[in-house]
Amino acid sequence: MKNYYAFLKKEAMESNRTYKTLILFCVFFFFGMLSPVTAKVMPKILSEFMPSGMKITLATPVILDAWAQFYKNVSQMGLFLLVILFSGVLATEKIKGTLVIMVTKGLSRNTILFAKFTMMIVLWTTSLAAAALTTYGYSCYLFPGETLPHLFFSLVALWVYGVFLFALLLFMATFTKSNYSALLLTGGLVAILMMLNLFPTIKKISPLFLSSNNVALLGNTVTVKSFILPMGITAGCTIIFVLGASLFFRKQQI
Amino acid sequence: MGIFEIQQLSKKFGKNQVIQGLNLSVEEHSIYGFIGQNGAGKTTTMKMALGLLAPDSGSIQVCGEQVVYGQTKTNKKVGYLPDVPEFYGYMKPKEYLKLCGEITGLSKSEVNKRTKELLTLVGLHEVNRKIAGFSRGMKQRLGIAQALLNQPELLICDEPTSALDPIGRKEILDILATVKETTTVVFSTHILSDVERICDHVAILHKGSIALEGTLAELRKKHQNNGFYLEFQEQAQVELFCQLAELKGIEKKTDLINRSITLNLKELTVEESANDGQLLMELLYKNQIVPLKFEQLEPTLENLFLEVIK
Repeated sequence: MKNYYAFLKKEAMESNRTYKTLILFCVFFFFGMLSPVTAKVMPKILSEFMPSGMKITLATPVILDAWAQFYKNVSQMGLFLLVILFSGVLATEKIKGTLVIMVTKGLSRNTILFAKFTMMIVLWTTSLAAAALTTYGYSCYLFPGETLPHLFFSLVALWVYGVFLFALLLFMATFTKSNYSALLLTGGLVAILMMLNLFPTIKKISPLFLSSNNVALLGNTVTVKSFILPMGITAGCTIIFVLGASLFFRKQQI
Repeated sequence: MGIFEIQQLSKKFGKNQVIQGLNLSVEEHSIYGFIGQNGAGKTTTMKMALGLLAPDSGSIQVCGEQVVYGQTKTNKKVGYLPDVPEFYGYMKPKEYLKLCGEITGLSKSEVNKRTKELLTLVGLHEVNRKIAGFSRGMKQRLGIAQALLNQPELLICDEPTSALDPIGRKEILDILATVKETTTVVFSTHILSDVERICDHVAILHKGSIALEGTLAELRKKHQNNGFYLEFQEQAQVELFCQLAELKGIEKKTDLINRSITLNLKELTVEESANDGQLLMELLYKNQIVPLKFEQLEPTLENLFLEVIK
């Protein structure tokens, strides 16, 4: 456990000194600020750009529009940025050979993997929290008196999906030697999941359900119950990917 | 039983048999020179000893414990210095050693104490900048500091001087020589002068196994060729001396006159038995030839190495 904390501290220092933490905080804070503002001013902007004589009827923006923008930004660009930043999670160390000394000091390979995975989760959690709190605060200001059901649960669902993505990335990173290969394989698997979404039965249980139905949950068009099965499957897949990464990495030449 | 034992070790990469039936035993508190050409399998052997590479067959023991591939139990007793050590460039030397200390299980006070001692030993105690800006020599010195941090019983150095300039090499060799009292050092290299300078035991790795092994004194004694090295003022003296030596039957007797006369040096190497040194001196005296140099040849490690790999 002492080794785990020591290596986790090293991971935190790396994230800070290579500006990953700063970049993520700034981008997610920006998403948090941008979402309610976009929802509020978008109708005005659209009507400004309409050709003269053409009339457009737009619904008055509500708090749900702000969170719709939030989920669009965070689940697409936000997660994409995170996956890119973490794509070298193992490859960089494997290529440079920085793990050799650590391993010869007695650091177990499992500790390396779990510390790296923890750091990804910590950064994802803090980034998501920063964006969500900013959106929440700003939405309360711009849309006073409006509330939404299941807001926390919808955020948890997206968080679980993010953790699943990082477990997948970690798994791919164990048996590839470059950042790009891990990124490509992770992207490939997500693309397969998207294609499988064409089948309604799979769509209901796919991990993608957790990142694509958050607004519907807030708008009460899907139930919390419908999230339980995909959440369970996603958690199961996450555990399988982490254990698989551990098994591969244990016997891998570094 | 030695502190580091290898028995019948074999390793193949594809069709290339790099290590074949390698046996090795390193005694405590010695500096063991592990010599071999580039690609002879020195690094492969060391990686297997650290559990970083799986052997095809054979066993490796460190301090009486079996090394298992992928596991790190035996590494707690080992310090390792790679040929080109790679560090986290965003860290400062103290931070890096602190991380290493925590991983090896040292207490906070021990980490601080050892960090201070070792940074002083390797001459980096006043350096407070990021490792990314370090020269190769500085990285190598920091590499030694991290390898010695947990006071290992065995220090494995994989070609630690091969990428350094003469000053950097001297610094590293001096440090290694000073740690002998507390640690056993296994030192792989292809730079023979480094081995002659600090190692007391030598093994030459050739074709995947140990071709020659022993203390430097033992090897020199065993392979002594009793040659003589003569250097003359003029080329004519060399030729005259060769004729005289031939007439005296030196060549016939030993068939060892080596006419290695180089351009302007006017030198001649005669390989002879020790008694024939007297004969050569008589020959010089009677013919009033005064050589610039007359010395009995000692077998060098280079000669031994070349003989082994021939």
